[in-house]
Amino acid sequence: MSLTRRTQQWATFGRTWYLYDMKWQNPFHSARKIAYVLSGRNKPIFEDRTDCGDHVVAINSRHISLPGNEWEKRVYYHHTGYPGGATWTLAHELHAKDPTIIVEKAVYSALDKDLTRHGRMRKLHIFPDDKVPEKIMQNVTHQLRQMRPVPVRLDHIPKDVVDNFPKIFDWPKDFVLK
Amino acid sequence: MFLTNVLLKFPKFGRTRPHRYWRRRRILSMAGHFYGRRRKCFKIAIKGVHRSFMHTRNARKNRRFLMRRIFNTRLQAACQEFGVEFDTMRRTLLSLDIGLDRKILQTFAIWEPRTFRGLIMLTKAKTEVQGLNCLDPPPKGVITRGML
Repeated sequence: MSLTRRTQQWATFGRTWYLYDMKWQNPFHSARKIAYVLSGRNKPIFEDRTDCGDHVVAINSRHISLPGNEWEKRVYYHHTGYPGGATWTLAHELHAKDPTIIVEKAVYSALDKDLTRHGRMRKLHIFPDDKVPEKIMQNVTHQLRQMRPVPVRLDHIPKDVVDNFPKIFDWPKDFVLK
Repeated sequence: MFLTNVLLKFPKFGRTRPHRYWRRRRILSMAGHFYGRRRKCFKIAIKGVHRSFMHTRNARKNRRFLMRRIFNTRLQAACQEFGVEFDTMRRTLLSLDIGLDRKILQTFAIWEPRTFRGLIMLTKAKTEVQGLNCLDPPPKGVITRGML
């Protein structure tokens, strides 16, 4: 095989590392997008049982956003195998225990349910904040677009910007805001 | 010689079968990858072999649907790289009387990416003629002479 063809093959089958910022993202919608990349469905060389997927580095998993009242209503079930070993953990309790596990479980269930699943999960790297080890960060070349815009909080905007924002009228001095 | 008459009277005339051991050996060799007694005991192995033949027959039919599903996934991925939906491309090629099926298109996408890009550019030019893709700038290097 000539050097050109060999390089072409390296380029075709080489892994790409994607960065995905989980901040204020729905983990269950994002999981579908991440699973799509992990299984290699974004490539023309895709094949069901071939390990042709890319790596995904998901950062800021501590700052995910669950829709509606799912922090209180979503329950994770676990059974130790012994009698009376069943536990039901609420999403916010699980998140307090380990801030990466909700994302991990979401991606795990979004992947194909076959023997390739564990190999594909190995290519997912989740970090609770934006501190990523240098060894992993130096591989990252691509970024996955966030699925929804990150809202800006009013108390995070500088005070002078808020004060100088144009407004139609001022509240009366004696008006009590509810 | 009236062979039928002879064969009806003497079924084994002129025909020799292999020894029972070798007949069983043929079946057991096909059960070599089964587990436990299913690969060793003939009486159990023959059931598994018949069943595996049945699965093979079904798989021959299902393989077409499986391959079609993989071709669709591959072509969607290949079109997404150029920001085109595969459905748009398929319908455009159909309207231009370009008779390329999914199999050959995915072969182009993998082995001849520049040919595939040419077809994508053609799709973009055609959709622009139809007035569907006017927001993007027109694709470069497509000479249509107003024939699309």
